[in-house]
Amino acid sequence: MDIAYYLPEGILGNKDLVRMYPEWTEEKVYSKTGISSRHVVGAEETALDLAEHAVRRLFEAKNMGGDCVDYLLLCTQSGEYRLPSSACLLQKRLGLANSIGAISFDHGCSGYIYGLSLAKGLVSGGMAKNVLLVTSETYTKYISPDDKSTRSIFGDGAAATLIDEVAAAKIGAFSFGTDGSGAEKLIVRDGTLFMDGPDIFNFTLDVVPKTMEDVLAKNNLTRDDIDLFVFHQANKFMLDTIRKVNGLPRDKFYVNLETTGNTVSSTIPIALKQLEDAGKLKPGMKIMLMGFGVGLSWGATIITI
Amino acid sequence: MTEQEKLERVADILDQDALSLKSDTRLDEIGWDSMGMLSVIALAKTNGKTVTGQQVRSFETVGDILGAAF
Repeated sequence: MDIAYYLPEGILGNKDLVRMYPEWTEEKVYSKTGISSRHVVGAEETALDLAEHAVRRLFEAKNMGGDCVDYLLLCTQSGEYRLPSSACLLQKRLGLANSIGAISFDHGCSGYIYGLSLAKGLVSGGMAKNVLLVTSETYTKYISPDDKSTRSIFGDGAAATLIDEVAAAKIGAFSFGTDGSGAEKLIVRDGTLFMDGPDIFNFTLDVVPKTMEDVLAKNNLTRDDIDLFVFHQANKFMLDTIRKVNGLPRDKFYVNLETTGNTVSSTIPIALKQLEDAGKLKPGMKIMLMGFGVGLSWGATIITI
Repeated sequence: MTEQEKLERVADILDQDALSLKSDTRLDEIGWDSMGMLSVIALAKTNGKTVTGQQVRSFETVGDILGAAF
């Protein structure tokens, strides 16, 4: 899969947070979240803007135009308007063909996994040859200035992934999960985000081991077959706990959100791109991807590099 | 694990001085916040126990943590 990402220029650093919330120290924020800074959109920037930037970066990196794209999937909960679909707006902005399919779907932290499943289905089912999957969020716009915990975690960003027939064949079977009874644990009402940190934490600790076993079974693999575990980069403390409780080796468990924060559905593609840029991805590697969060929703798959 | 060892473990996760922490220490006097709550949930999980969000939000003293997380 070819991936690119874009982070807005605005920065909210830990020193900025400490200035606002003096009961904290920069060290404390970093030690608990693993985040030293996060990118935030300006007042006039939207998720659609970030999405466009991410795709243009992908096209530039691959020296390609959008001519080959025949399906656009946009995952965002920060749509430009209530209607029409932001995917249609993105099609126009990118100058993609009028003959393509384009839909938006509103998932959060599990969104990349669901997007991969849709892309694989479209390609495997012969409905598309080159699916452009874009994830983009501006959660910082929904966070109250008084909500210091949530403010320390989330950052804005977008990622673009091109899934062609070769890439789709390297995406394995999926494990999905949904529990709408937890909807109010992470919700935006009246424009303000509320997150029940303890309950979301418990939910994650509960679903991760079961999902891990399920996706391994569906792919006829064992834990030892997995070269890397790339999970949704929610926050370092949560990830460290997940790793310890599930007995996953540190050198196989990717954690890096230091300069991005939690970018919701973009954390996994950003992580994959970071690994690629660092030369850590080798042909034949098997990587377990897992997303979990708002909905409540979760999902996992295993990809082969 | 002795009571003192448990107190030291709790002091560690709450970034407190172990010597000053007692079972009846009030959490609102030692900067109890959302990060502390998550730390207690994680501690309980590593001990094979589950502390719900409702429970952890009801905690008032260090003793409440000791009773639930170990």
